[in-house]
Amino acid sequence: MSSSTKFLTLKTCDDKKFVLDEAIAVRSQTIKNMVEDDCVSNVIPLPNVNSKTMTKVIEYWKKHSEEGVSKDVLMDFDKAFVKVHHSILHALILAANFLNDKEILDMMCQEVADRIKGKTPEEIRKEFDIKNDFTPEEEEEIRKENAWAFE
Amino acid sequence: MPNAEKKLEASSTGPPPPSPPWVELPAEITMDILKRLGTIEILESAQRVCSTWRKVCHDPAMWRVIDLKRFVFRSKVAKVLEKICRLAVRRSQGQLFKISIENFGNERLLSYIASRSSQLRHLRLVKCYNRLSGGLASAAKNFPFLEELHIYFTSITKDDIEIVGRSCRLLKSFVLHAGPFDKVRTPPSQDNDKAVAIARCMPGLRHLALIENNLTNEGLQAILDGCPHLESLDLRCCCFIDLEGDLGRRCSQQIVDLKQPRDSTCDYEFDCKIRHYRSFEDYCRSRFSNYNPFIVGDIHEYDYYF
Repeated sequence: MSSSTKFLTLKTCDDKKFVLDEAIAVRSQTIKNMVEDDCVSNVIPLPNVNSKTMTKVIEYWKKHSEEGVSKDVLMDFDKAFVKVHHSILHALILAANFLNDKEILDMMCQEVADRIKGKTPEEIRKEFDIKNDFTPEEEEEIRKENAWAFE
Repeated sequence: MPNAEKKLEASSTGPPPPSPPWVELPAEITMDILKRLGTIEILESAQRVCSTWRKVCHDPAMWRVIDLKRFVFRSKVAKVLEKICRLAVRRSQGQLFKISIENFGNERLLSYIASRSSQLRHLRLVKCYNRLSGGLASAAKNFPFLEELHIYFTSITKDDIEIVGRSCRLLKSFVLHAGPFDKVRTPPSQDNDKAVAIARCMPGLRHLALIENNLTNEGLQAILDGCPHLESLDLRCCCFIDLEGDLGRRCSQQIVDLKQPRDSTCDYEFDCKIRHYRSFEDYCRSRFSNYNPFIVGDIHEYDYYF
């Protein structure tokens, strides 16, 4: 019944407030624990999540809480959902980790893995802007260890 | 001015956000991501990207699951896969939980895994053919916590089954799809002996699949008697079993999830054909002549020996 719907207010680190149906917000295990432990005051602060990321998370939560959505529709939604810039992907992973939402975290980690797959170390560094910080000694050690790759 | 132009262009499309600090992710998340690459890519690519990733790739928790498969084309040779497998097992430092080896591996490799993986819960061996040569029995003694043993296209003996059953008291799921990979298939009497070994030594089984097995009703009866906790039983392509009579009724009553000899194999991961023979002699004769046995269900094309 709509009269019994409870709403929670979530406040992101950039001071934006999101009012959300409690039934949806508890997709986050972190929020669920707070609700169950009765330590929810008026506003739940999310010090590690910004509003841009939270908007994405809530978009996902709402879609996956809709009634009567077919599996195919959700699959298409998920496919489009993960097609984001590295920075958003990264932020979503940290947010999902903080909110303890295994579903989003799993999906995002898979997306990163898919972006790594099939690439050489050099290609991975370029794609993810990672610095090669190995010392020459370490390089040599790795080369020896991976000798089979050069056979 | 070129600078102004550049600015204009940038503001119209928006400057690309700076790349996030991927290496600063919590180690457990980096591990979660890199684990998904599979054993070979972790060793050949991920761990060679930077020192942070390399450290994560050396964590034994990275190696709790090992899944290695040799493809027929464009794949590493068996010897190289064996080396990779050994390295991965070494890195697990005894924490190996689940391993699947497909189309390579032999008795020596299995013994190597066994001596370093006492925590193993799931073991899957595919297309090791005759290369285990009794090695499963001695390996099983080192797997006291094994819960799942799935064997495809790999020959094992009645003794293997007995020792596995006695050593792995927690075994809940057993799959045996031994062949056909050899020119000679086991006669029903031998497969019945194996069925009796299962019944006698694996009483705690919840799930059992004997695919394309030559056991008869006699062997099946022993299993139903010896494994009272069975919830699922897959007997697809076991052409010498007849479930028309009382035994069939008993199966349906005792087993929640029963797959019958002639049930479809389309959802089965390997190819196998459902064939029908009047007798084992009939079945053997068909190997040596052009006699074409009546095929009950034509599910997949399979390069068969008949």
